[in-house]
Amino acid sequence: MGNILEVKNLSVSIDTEEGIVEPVRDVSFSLAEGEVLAIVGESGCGKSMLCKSIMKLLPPSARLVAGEILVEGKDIAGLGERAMEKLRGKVFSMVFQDPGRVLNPTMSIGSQIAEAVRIHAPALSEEAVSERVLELLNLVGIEQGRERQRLYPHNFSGGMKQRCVMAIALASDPRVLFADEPTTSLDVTIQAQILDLLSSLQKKLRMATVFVTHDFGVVARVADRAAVMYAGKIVEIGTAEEIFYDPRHPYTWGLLQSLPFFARGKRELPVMPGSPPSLINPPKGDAFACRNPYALAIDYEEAPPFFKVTDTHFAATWLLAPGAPKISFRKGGGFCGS
Amino acid sequence: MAVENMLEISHLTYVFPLSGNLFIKALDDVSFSVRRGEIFGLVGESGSGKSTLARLIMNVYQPCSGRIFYKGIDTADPRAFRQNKGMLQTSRQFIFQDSGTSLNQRMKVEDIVTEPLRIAGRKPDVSYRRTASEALGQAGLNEWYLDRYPANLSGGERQRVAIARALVMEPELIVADEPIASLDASMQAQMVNLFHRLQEEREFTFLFIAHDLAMVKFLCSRVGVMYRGRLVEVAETKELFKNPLHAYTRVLMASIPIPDPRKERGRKIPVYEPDSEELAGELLEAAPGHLVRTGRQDQ
Repeated sequence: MGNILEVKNLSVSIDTEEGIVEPVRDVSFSLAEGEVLAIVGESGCGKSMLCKSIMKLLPPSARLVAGEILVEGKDIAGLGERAMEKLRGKVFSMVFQDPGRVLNPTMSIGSQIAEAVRIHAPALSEEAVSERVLELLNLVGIEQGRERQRLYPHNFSGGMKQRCVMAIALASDPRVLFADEPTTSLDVTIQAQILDLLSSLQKKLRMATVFVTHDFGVVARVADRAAVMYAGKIVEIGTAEEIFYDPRHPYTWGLLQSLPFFARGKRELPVMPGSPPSLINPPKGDAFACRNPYALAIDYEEAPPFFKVTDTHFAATWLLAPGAPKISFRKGGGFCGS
Repeated sequence: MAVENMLEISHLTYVFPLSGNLFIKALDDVSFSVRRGEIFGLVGESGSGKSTLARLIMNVYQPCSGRIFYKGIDTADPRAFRQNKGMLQTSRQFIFQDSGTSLNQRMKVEDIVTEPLRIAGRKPDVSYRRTASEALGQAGLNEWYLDRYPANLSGGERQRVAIARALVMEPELIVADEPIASLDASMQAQMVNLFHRLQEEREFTFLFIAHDLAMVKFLCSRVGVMYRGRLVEVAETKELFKNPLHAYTRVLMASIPIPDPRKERGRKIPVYEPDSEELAGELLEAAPGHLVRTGRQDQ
């Protein structure tokens, strides 16, 4: 199985009035065909910006500072807007967090999906387009597509709208789907349905998926691999099993232990103090150091490199350096040092 | 009248008119009570009428039928409401879901937090600024925030400002409509701890509306489950999670993803198909303190 997407040392910066923001800093990862990679982290850690940088859906003031984005071995980092337009849809597609804001309220569902179909296949006849629309509606689990395609977004519930957004995203058979918190605005019962739909589509169409979320329960359900992001950097990456059963980065520990699931019978949820740093002039050294109860002196001086745990599991923390104090982690039990 | 119950709601119904003969029954014969000093959780999917209920309790809407007793006063009765308006509007406070839209973008945090005091005509002991800073302190923000605007703050910080604004009136009842839904997981945990601590210190009664059962389980002493405008189950939190009786409650619990890949993958999540009998029935006591809506006699 080859890598369909490879990102190497990607850095992005945005010029703002207050200074230069660096939402993505030196990020590398790869994505194999048919694989689901979850990107986890608090809001403001650059998860969405990473997806948008790869799809080049950035504001005009943003620049790709360094790095390569390889799609099936070809670097697309230098491509202009016109060349990117061809890739979007064909290679990449994206599902956003809030389906209510993505859909056009003045167009019927059917014509919005048809629009996406036509853009990617201008030669298609009207009959073929409407057939494809019905096929897509069926694919995302909207029954009675023939009648329902005439309805407008406001007739649909949140979950149904998200299904329509997915139909639009899938209109061009993308190879890689970016799903940016697709279930965050939905209820748990609807979330479960959408997640199952995503998994089944992903298996049926063999697309690779980058799934952005802050919910570890969702990661456990859908992801093959998970990357934990903090302050614009990936701090830990590994298979889902490795991240859940053998987390190595203190930030991953913090995220896991704040889950109410692991806090049965406790009076207080163990929480990480503070919030992520502003990405304008990120702090020197490890950005997580000031929230990290196990920060070492070196954390304030120098950002840690990736240390290899296994062939698939890497974590950027000085705790893994030879000679660092050994600290083990128990879920829900907080930390224990030795 | 004994005021053992802070809030007593009986047979509350609310209908949103659409065009012509169409209408939506947002609340259908809802009855429950909230005891003084408890944290009562209300859960259900969107569209189940949770927010409508919160707004009825806070007199934003006028009920179509039914009664709402707050400390023995029928707030649904316009006359009783007028007579106690001052007390009702200060001792009950509302925290909204989206702090981005519920805080005035053009006001500084200090003014936002002290606005309720000014409206109620209450003079602070020392100064408004001092009062604001104390309220912010309780919500976990320092004085630096007094001169900021909501746009300068993150979602979690804004929600803390909204909490400070509610606390400044020293309310006896706080109704929070999905106060943590727009925050991410680690911030939700911080907020839940904050609610827990504040409730213990201030001993206010707290109606916490959420769709996240995991947080409700952690925070609330009793829980009510709503489905399509009806209350289908009410019980002590422990009892509800140990022994959920209504089919919808069970589906709701099973829908929470478990943060454990080996258990979570391949787990079949059931879908709730409402059974007309189950929904049409009455809310009956199945065990002491455990009410469930059921149409069948055998349950």
